Amino acid sequence: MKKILAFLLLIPAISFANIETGMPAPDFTGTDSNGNSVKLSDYKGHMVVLEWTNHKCPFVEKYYSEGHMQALQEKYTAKDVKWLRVISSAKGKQGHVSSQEANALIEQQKVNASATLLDESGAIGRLYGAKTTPHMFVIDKDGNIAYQGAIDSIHSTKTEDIAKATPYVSDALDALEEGKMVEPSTTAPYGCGVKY
Amino acid sequence: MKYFTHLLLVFLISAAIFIAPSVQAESSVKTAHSEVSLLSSVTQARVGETFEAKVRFELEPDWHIYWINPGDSGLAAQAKWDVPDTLSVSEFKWPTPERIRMAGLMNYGYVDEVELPFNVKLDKEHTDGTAPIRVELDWLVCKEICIPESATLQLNLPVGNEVIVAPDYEQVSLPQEYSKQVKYEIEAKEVRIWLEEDSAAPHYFYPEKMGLIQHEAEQIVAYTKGGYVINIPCDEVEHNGTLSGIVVLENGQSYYVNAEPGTVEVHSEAMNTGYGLALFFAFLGGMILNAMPCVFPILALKALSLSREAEGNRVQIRENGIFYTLGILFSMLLLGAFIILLREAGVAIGWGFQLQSPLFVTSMLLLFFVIGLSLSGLLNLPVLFGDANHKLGERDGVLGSFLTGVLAVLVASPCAVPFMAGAVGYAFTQPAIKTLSIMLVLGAGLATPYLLLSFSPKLHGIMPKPGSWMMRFKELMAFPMYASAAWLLWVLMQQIPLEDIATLLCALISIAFLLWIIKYSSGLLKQAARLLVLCVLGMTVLSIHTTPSAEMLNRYDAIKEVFSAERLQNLRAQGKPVFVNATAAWCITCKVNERVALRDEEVIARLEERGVHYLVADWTNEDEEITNWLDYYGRSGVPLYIYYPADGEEEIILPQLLTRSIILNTIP
Repeated sequence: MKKILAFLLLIPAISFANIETGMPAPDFTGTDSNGNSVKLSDYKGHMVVLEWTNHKCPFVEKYYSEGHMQALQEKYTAKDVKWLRVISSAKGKQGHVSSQEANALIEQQKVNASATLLDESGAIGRLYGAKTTPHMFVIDKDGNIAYQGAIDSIHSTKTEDIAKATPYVSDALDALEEGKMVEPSTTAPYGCGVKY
Repeated sequence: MKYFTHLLLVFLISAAIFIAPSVQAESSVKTAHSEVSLLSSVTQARVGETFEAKVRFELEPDWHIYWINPGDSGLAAQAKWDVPDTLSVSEFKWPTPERIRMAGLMNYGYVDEVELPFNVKLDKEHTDGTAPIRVELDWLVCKEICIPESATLQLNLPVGNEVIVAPDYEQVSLPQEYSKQVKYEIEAKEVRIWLEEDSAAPHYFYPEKMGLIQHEAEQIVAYTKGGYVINIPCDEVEHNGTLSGIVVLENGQSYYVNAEPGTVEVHSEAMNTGYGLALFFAFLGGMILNAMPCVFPILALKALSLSREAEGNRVQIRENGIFYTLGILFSMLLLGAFIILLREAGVAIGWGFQLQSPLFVTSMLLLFFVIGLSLSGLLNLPVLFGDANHKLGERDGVLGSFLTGVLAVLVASPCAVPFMAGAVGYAFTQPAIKTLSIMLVLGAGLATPYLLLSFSPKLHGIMPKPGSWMMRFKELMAFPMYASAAWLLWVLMQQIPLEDIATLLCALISIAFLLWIIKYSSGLLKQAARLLVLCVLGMTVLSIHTTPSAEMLNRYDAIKEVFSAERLQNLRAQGKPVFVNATAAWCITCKVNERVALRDEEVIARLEERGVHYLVADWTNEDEEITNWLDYYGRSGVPLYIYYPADGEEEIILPQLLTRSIILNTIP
């Protein structure tokens, strides 16, 4: 009985949206590390990448420590893709940063994203059902989800595995640009749990 | 001095000789949050033999590592083996994981410690005196945050002529291989797994494949014939081939399962409200049942009888209360046993199954109608409420109370269906003991209000004093009964053809009329009327029982064709056999014939087999063509049945009162 009650109590806290590939991406308004308001629908007509991140997570470090993620960000923002990082860690939990800390990290790590959204309430994370860091979403120009899931195919914390893996996100972005089918369009994400 | 260094050298070398081949049966590394060790079950191996070894993880308290499928996040421990070619090392065998929940995410892993066993095989060609086993381990250890750790472990086992077992090596407890049948099906965003299990219900399924199921979702278990079904929500996923994982049963046993793809039925009754919750709802539901229109009159009138007896024997009142309860519990037990028997026989029943049977619905309808008539004053049924004319201790005895209890359950069953689906639906999916206990608890809830009344002198006090209002109240109670009967009639209308409903209505009117006769007559007339009532009741039930099934009605509708003179001519010209049925909605003979002879399995089958075209000439409204056709055969009315054999042979006119055998004999 207690278990059931406890579970019932958890429901509001843990309800995740069910995002299906092909569905329109839910709109949201977030605040970036410079205090600006960022709305997803403002970017209609552009391809958008959502990257859930947590700078202390070893899986995120895998991609940032040797500049791989930054390179991806640079490559695609140059092609007019909007790359939004989202930090959904709750206050006091691993990965949570203030805007100053966020900006300091951006400079230090030479992040090339369009913006870094601070989602400490976890609202955007839950809206998208973001489970891990990193968890990637690619949204096409019409505002539909073209890809969601892992950043690549090798589940590990080792940087040397990046070269051997299938780069799902860059493949998806390239396919969209060439007007081809995104394959695979959904994969199981891997990483640390988002610290809601 | 020279002598001393010489001695030292000798000492050192001999020490080295002694120490070097010493058995290194374990190799252990400590990291920030874990201590990993490589342990072998043997201290000496032999060529051509296989032995077990294991990697032990001892973690900081409350920290965990992950299973082969880590769940929503995380990473399983990975091993990179470095062994000579003559050695082969198997994959890790993973013990049963536990569920680790973190802020809405579900992970599968091991808290505090785990041992991962594996097998090592030494080929016959191995010539070396030692078997070196080296492994590079990478794992993710987490509590709230995750730290990747790694270590290299090494074990150098001596190889000799015999196997020496390591005395303090403990075998790792692993799930057993599941020997019974397992199937799975993925459909409509649900993974359904069927196990041929009879010892205990499954509790949880851990799939080896990551991202297949929604890890954090509740897994709903239902009992079905010969086994259990686990329903797990999933996203749009696909899986081909075997589905592997670990199943944990409620008795704590776990098994490695490899489910083959197949068909697994959907179970709408699948409930995971939990046994305790189901019992609670069953009790509550039983109490609420007392307020339902089916049951309330019974209860109210039984309670009323208490107010009459209030002056009487306290002990006797309590006795009646107890026997009433016993009557209820006994009936519930019977009902439960009946359900279990049906289920074991393979009948796919769910709660509400009684209402699926037109026979049951009709019987209950008749019962409610008769009870209503009785309450309205047309009939005396003392078993219900203790007739004022009878002395205390006669009908109101313990037997009477027991029977009232049985009656209460009987009338409660149709009313219970609509809202008891939860708890009782659950009961249907569980093994016998749980089903029976839930039914009993429901009965207890049903009996409680009256039982409390009969035991509490204070409540006696608040019962109103007997008076003429009792008669009016009794008559009022007839109306909930009629309402219940009307509801059942509505249900029946969806189940049997309209003609049979008409029959039923006639039966109800006849019964009411006969009861009126019984009330005011005596002697022979009374007896005759009583007999007639029983006949009508019996015939009604029988006719409903033999009513054609929906399936047959469909088949009948499928072979029906509309009559037209032209069609008949064409078919005859083509040499096809035709059977014409001239009928009308207001023609009772026609309807009886249809019911008895035409809407019959064998007749329909015969018509289908011989390719006979079945033309129905519906003369309910004016139709010149049909009139002309009837006229041709010298008839001015319906019914008329004519069979035109194949190849233009002469037609055969059938009698106006048809039977099945007449038709079967006419159509060869």
